[in-house]
Amino acid sequence: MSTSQLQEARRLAGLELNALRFVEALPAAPFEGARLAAAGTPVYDLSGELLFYRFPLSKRGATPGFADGAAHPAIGAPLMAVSIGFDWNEKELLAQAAEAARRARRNLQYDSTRFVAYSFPKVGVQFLAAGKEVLMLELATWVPVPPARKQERKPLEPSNFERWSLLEELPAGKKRAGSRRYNARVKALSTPQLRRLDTSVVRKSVFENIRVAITLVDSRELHYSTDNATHHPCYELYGQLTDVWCVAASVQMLLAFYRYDYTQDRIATALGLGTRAHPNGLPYARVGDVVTQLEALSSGALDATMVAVPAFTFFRDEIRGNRPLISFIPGHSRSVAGYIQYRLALAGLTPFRGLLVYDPWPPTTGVITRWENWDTQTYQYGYSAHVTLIP
Amino acid sequence: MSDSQQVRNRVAELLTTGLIGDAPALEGARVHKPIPVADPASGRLHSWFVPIAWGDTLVGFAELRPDLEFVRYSSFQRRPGDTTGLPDLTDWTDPEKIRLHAARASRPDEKLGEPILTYDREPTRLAWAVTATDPAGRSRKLYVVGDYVYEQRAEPQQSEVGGRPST
Repeated sequence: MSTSQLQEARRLAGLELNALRFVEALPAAPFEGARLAAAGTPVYDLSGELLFYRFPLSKRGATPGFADGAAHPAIGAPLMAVSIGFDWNEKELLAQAAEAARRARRNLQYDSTRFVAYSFPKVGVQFLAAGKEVLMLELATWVPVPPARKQERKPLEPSNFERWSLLEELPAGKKRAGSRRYNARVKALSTPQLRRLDTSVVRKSVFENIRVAITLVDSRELHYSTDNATHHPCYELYGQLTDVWCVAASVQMLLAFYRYDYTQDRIATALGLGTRAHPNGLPYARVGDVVTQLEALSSGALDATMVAVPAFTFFRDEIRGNRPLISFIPGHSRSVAGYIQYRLALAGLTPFRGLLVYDPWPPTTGVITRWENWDTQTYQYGYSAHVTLIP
Repeated sequence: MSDSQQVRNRVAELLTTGLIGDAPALEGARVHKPIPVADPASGRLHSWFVPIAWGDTLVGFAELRPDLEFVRYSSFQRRPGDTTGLPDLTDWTDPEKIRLHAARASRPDEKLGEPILTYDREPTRLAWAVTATDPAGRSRKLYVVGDYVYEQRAEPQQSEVGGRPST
């Protein structure tokens, strides 16, 4: 463990915390103005390797907390976790542990102590004599952690109160992948501009005040071509002309992108949606008609596909290919022209993902929804269309 | 702090992040008073509709769940920075104006009830519901969406996209 390693872990954790604050992934109440302590507590893997540093987070008048900054690349990200509600005071905790150890074993002899993730992320205090463990107590409860079990069990599937080594049980492939992600992130966070930032205090202004040099979001919307730099965003909103013609309007938007200039009435007729005076919706028994009509109305130039329960990646990959989509949610249809996904999130949380939705509702006008929170919607069917090569 | 104020503050906060809205148009925009969206079946709070006003027009609106989770931001702007053709703010926020729109689809002998912001069949299809009641006590529901008015449709025999959603 070196001072420079500790400082680098703190710098990286501070950057991540400030970036999370910048994108509002961390709320202002406990985090704006919180100070990341310079002294971090090293926490070791059961194998003896340094795993991470725990840095106290404090703010006057607010509940204290701590942030865990990775020291081992296999962890996969520089910032592992942020917790609020526990006042991390290394000296006080070690004093409590020593007192508990005296009560547990009156004649205990040891020459050093350290914090160990005995069952990641559970932490204990290990007492050592000449480098060998003589006792380990679980943090806060101060219950002795039992020795390792002899019998075989599956890796990463420990029982409730059992010691095991994260680094020894992580599959080699996962460790390599984690190290790649960690190193890529560290590289992105190590530009000269970012190295100059003071990130010891979490403030939204830290990233607001600079031209952000790291990409916080992955986002794209349809352009005239895949060349985003020289071509403008290119998609047109059409409102549905009756209260039930959302499918017709969605098909109209997709076809218009490929310069098929059909009226909505014409598309409604093709889809069997009645007339403007007597309209009807598209029965679920006929959702496949959208594929048929996209192909028919483009004279076969478009090869359409319907996907049930589409994943976010389905929409994302089509938009990356500069192709609009149609999205069915229960009882409604819209067109999708873009996506956004945040690259940052706290461990265990899904980062924000959203779609740029050209919604034909309200009738006649429609709205452009930027962004629709992916995690608050149910996606039933997705339709994509590729241009086929016609000899 | 009231729920409404908390919702308003949350949207104001989101606007500063750049996650929602179009910076040029929002420069002179203001967060209007949030309006509760009622669940059409239970009448309970389904979400909050938060208009973003630009002068007397409606630039767009944010929608938040009761626990303040962001659902969406929808804009009436056709292009970033474009403020032409925006709907009147009152078409979406003023109960009296909404009743006037509903009156276009009501019969002379019908009385109109208080408009309630809700949705028609699917939560993204926001609409103001106005009950029209004739002298015999028969009621029907009219929906007002901006300046577009229509009568609630009879349930189709089968589930439809645009009509009755599948269950």
